[in-house]
Amino acid sequence: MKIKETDYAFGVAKIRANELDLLTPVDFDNLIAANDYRSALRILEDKGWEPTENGASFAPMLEKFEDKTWQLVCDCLPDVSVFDSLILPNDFYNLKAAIKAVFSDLEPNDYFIKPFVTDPALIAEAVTNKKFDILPKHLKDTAVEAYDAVVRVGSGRLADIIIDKASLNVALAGAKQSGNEALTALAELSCACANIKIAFRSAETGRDTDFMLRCMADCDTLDNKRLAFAAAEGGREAIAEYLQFTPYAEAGEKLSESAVAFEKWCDDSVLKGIGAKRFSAFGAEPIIAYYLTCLAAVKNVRIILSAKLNGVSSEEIRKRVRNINV
Amino acid sequence: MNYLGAAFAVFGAALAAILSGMGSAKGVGLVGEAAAGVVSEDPSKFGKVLILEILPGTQGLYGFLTAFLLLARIGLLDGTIVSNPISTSRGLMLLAACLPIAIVGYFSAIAQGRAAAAGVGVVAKKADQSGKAITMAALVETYAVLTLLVSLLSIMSIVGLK
Repeated sequence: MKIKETDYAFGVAKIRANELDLLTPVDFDNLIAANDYRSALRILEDKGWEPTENGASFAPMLEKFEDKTWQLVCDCLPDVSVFDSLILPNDFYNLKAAIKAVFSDLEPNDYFIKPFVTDPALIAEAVTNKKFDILPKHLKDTAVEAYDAVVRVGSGRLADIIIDKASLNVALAGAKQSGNEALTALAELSCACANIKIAFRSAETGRDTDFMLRCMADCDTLDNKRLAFAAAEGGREAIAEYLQFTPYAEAGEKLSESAVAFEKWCDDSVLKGIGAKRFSAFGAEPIIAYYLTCLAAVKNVRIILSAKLNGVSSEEIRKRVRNINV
Repeated sequence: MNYLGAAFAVFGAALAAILSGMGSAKGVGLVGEAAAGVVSEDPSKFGKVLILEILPGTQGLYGFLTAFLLLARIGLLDGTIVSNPISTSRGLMLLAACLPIAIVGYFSAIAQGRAAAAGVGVVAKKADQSGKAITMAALVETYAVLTLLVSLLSIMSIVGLK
């Protein structure tokens, strides 16, 4: 049955109530300005984040926050499959982890991430026992191809490329299938950002166009061939020049500035992409926006706490922290 | 005895009660869902969201009022319709008189429900702004009230015709 936008009334209202607990730009300023790591942790604990044990890593705190956020999102959605296109890349990450763990004699469960569409135990079983038929359609072919790349070619890097590309393509296809414009725009933006990153990094490391085209995901808003040729011939400047004629002109400017500025632009654009619909009383967009805001908050907290632990200056942290407008 | 006029009038009364009642049920239901979302996180806001939930319910009352008045005025409730039946043309006029509150009641209740549900979101984030949320949703009521007046005045005038 098709979900109507009014079916989200309960979820959107619940999200609105929870938005009060999100970290605001002022909170991030306070975190950046905190004297040290401990002071930053105290600010987070005051805002309701799970306290960390004395001297312990902050990773469990972030993990608990992510779990809590996902649980809330599930409570708010009339059908969780709406979020599949946002979650599918995690399945591919888990596939990558399973392949690497199997070939390195490690325990795959230690490397899996949540949330997921496909049970990681199933992925682990498929990779361990080479029973790829038990995997869902979106993972099966990629798993076989990536596994072969490791076994026959002996290239873990090629396996990564295969999985990363499939991850973006499957997420975009899933978003288009969902019929949700915001999700489609987000998936398209993710593909475009990934392709620009590939072009930029390949240019920096002297890779050829064939390699770039093999890595790039299908993208409606970018001409991959032109992007790859620009990268191969003129590097960063040529990429920026080509991007001027695409919806990513601003990305080109940021890329000319620095790789850090470009990465920040990519993340900031994800939240901007939802636009005014995030303030709507109905529809999935406010819930998508909340979820992405929480993920951005986790990323910011990770950047700030890592920087505090390593004594990075506030100015440097500020350059990397993502914009969050609650 | 020809009751065709009475049949048209009763059909009008039924439309007024059914359509505006349906609109109110949809509107109140929608706000109720949104209100439940807020109350599940902050039960102290129940009073404020309840006011918003009540707002789209008025159209149903207007439809009921219109239907009741019509049935009373044509003598269906006290049985005088048997001795004093209404003509077909008067019945049709009474049916037409019910349409404003029936149709506008249905659509305005749904529209008010959407506005009130959006207001619930305002209350969720800024409880002190609930007055503004209520005012914005209440403005939709204007058009239901206007059509209620049209329907009531029409019914009273038509029944009074010689």
